[in-house]
Amino acid sequence: MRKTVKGRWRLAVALGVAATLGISGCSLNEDTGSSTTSTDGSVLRIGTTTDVSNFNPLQSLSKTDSWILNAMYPHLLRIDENAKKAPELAKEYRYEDGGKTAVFVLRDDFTWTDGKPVVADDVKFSAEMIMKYKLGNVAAKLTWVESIEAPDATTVKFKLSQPYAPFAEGVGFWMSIVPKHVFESAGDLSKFPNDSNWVGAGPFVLDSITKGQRYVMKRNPNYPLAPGGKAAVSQVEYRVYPDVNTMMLALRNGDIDLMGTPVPVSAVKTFQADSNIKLVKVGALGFAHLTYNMKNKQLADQQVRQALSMSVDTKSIISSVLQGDGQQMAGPISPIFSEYDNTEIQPYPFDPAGAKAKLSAAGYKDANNDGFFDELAFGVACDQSNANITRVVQLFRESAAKAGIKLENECVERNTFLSRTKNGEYDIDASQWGVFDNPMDQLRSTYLSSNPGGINYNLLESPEMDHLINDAAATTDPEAFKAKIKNIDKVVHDQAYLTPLYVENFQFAYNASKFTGFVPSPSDLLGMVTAYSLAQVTPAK
Amino acid sequence: MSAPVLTEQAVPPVAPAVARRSWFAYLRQPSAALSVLVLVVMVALALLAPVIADEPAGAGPDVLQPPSGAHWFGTDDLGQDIFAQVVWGTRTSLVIGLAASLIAIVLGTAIGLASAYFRPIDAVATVVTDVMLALPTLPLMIMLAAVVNPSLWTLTLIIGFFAWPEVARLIRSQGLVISAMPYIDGARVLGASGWRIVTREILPAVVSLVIVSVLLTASRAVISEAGLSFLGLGDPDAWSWGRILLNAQRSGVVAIAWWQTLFPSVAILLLVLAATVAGMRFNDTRDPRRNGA
Amino acid sequence: MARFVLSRALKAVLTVWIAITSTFFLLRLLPGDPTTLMVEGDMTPEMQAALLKTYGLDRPLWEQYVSYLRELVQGNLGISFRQIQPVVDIIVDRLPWTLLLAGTAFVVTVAVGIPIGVAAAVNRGRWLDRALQALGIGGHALFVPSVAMLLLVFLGARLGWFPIGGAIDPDTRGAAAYLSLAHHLVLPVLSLVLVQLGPYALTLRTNMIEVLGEDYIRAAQARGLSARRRVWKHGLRNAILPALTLMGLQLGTLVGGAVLTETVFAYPGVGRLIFEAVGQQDYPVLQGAFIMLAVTVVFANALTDMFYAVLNPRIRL
Repeated sequence: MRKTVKGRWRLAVALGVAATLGISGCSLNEDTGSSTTSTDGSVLRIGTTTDVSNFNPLQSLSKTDSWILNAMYPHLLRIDENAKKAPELAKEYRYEDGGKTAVFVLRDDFTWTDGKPVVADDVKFSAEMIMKYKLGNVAAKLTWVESIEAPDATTVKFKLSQPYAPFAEGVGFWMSIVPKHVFESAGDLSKFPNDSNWVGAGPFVLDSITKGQRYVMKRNPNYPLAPGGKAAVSQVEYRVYPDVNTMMLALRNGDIDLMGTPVPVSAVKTFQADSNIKLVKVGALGFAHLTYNMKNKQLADQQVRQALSMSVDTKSIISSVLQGDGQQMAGPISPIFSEYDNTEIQPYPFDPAGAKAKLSAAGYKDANNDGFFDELAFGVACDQSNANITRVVQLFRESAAKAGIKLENECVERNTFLSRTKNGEYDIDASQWGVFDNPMDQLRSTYLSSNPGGINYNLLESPEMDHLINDAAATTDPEAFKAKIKNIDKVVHDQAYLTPLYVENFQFAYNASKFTGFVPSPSDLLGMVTAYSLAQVTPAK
Repeated sequence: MSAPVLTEQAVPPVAPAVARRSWFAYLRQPSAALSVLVLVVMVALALLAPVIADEPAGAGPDVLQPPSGAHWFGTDDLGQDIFAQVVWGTRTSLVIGLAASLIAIVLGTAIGLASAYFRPIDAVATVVTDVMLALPTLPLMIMLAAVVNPSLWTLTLIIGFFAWPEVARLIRSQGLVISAMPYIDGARVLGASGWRIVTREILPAVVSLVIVSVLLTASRAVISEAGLSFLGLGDPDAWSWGRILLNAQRSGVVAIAWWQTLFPSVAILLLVLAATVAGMRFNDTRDPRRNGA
Repeated sequence: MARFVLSRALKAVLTVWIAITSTFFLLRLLPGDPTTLMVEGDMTPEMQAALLKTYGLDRPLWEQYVSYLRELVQGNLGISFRQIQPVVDIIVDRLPWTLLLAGTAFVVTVAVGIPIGVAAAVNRGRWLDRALQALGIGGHALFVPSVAMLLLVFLGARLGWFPIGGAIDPDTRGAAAYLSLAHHLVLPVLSLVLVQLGPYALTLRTNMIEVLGEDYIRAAQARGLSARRRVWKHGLRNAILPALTLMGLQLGTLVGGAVLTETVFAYPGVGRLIFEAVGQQDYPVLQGAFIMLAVTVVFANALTDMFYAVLNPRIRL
């Protein structure tokens, strides 16, 4: 080519075109898997905020992952609208042998989508793999298991080294059952991505995915828990919207039919004008709290903790931050566990003046007259990404100042916060428990000095508490068990190891003109998208 | 976080003598006067914030109210007055904008001048500058901000640290021109050390360019800070315009509470605009060739 | 030519290496480790130790670095901590979207910026010039998330002209797919372009003004060439050269700014991936994503340098 200026321009243009074509070489929509959009029935489109990060149900720890995975892989038990355990794969469960053996009796009508029936060996396999490779959050629940037996196709026996009353409920609710004949060829399950050719026994099974955009699940033709033997909806699609504002707009626009993520409290008004969109309210299985680090010299004093409990206005927090949509709590047991909640105890009254008097009586002084007790200065750590808790800390700071207690806002970015909580680097921890499925596990994880669950944020080492908890754990008589739990509830409240802030409600929005029949469960982990709920959904007339 | 408004091409080196007569000519341009006025108002707002509005705190009864007589900019989902939030946010934006800009200026000028005069330093500095300019800064800032404790100081340091390369480039090209001038050779012949030449002769010649840079870098720093706060990486105790936007986004009220998004955005727009125009007009008066341009 | 290419290549490699090393060590400075996020309740110290071992996080820092580099050279970016998938796969899924978004914004900026810059330069001092300058500076002062949210709410939701988020309608094929792609691109690209346009047009304007004042343009005028030819054929050709280097800088900004746009518009790109990976402390993904971005930007810069060299008759190839 002649090296003229014109020639150079031509060369430049040619290079440019080549580059552009090169970049756009990826062909579009090729990998959106199977056939077509047309299905012989209705499609329920659900909004979610993130991609699935891990398709291995034994290992995945993400809430949004579990929405999709739990629709595919059954659990032994589920939680119903009243926060009680209900049967799913297991018809019933019982204890034998003085509480040292937990027995599940399975239904015989669950089938994997490749035709094979779901059997006790699948359950045995799932549990053994979890124990072997220490997978997910169920591994810790299986630590007392000495052996597992599957004497016939519908019976599974867990033999424990000691009796533990809530074992069956905990494992039954949390553990996913996977097909042994598919997973056993994968070898080391901690490295098994399970990202294709899914075989499930839930009402819907993944068929194809477009990363970052869409997850298509097709109906399982044999799902016994659906009226009629299979779900009425033929296809469920999860669509990814990282921003909840965009998701709400999408629902209003008709791009999706249900928001898997709860509607933020302040945004409920968004749907007022739209008569098609209905809101459903459910409670939470966790709660927000302030927990005091017992290694801190001043916080180790019960008077100080009680004074702090009197310095936070939970009523006003609920009415402003939650816009009234929440409940107060007195002790660590949430009112949603109605059988175990000790209703005789009352939350500490909001009384900064009284708190101040209490502290003075306890001997704390304000020598330099700055309005604050000299030794009482604490940092409050929280996860900045939690909007409600961040507001709470702000408000707490202001009200505690009235009681003469100086608080520093130490809300930081999420992983910094989690790391600090792990290492005990905080005075007061303001956070939210996600899901406790039963009070006994909760108490063990939060107050045992051996810290088996890693969430003893009080860093409490109290022989008295240890004794109370271990004693309750070994109690198999239901009535005595309840009484002991209630007692611990009271003790924690009196000691003010924590100040429970509120139990919030979650609201879910869906397009009622298109679908109906959802069966919501409490918490945003379950919400409207449990396997059972999806199996009951029908198109609206 | 945004492309440079001025590059070496747009800010050509100018002989120093012209700079001194600039001030009056500068303020006589209407756009310059207006921008300076806006900047002065912002500074006043920042300084007088406690007098103008109570520090946003607590929770009020009027939740998500549109602008009205009682709340000029409306209220947010906690019932707090957004006008107060914007006024107090001015402090944060100005402080970080100025401080980060100063850090960038000091670093950038030092490195730029040193590169202009000392060849060996130039070789190293150019490579470093080019590398830093080539990498996408926001992802880097995100990672850095996630590592450290978010506070006004750490944010300022991070933003300032990523802003110096552009300043260095500008100062360097001006410095190169000045270094080539005969009177510099003269000084060298007279026995002045390199250090003296740089500080006594070259530095004063680039002062007006430095002033321009301060304004432009500050405006970029304000946007960077708003961006980091919007992503939740800002100081949780300090009110910031980015944080107001973040609250709107987190509470899901973007579509129904337009005032919570609009007013902080306008504030950002005004501050950045004023600083940029002020800087550009000052640049114009520096160089008479650019007048009317 | 060889020397030119070699020096540019070396510089590119150096830049990328610095990017890799700095992110590697920066990430290891993050407090805690990925196992802290697996703490939804029950994790014993033994489990944590086992997890750390699986991810190789218990080895000394230098060892980890060396082994990372070794893998990198073989094209292996490691396995994601969270997703048990090769990082390369995760990123390859998402990188094209960011490239598409940034690339389109880039092309539009240039395509619209040139006529604006030229118009402003040619009409220097008159109202058109002032108006365009004002728009340019004003645009530069806009805050991307605000613009994005505004566009989404008004043009997307209220008026319904554009889809609410996403990159493409997954049910379309062939030509319809391309159309859907373009339809979904409009709003995100618009938010980026509105902000980037100003500086670009202004720089071009300044260059044009300078070039138009040059002697050879006057000579062309004396020769009787029409204004049009003078401006477009002779003037622009020379004014555009310095603007090319500005394009390279803008790419870095565009790619970084995509983080914000991708969030608001649910666009499945790498910018958003970085932000999510920070929250999950997924080091391999973070490093991989950042390296990919850096490589892309460096590569694009090198390309523009090539263009510059090809187009500028004064550089000998």
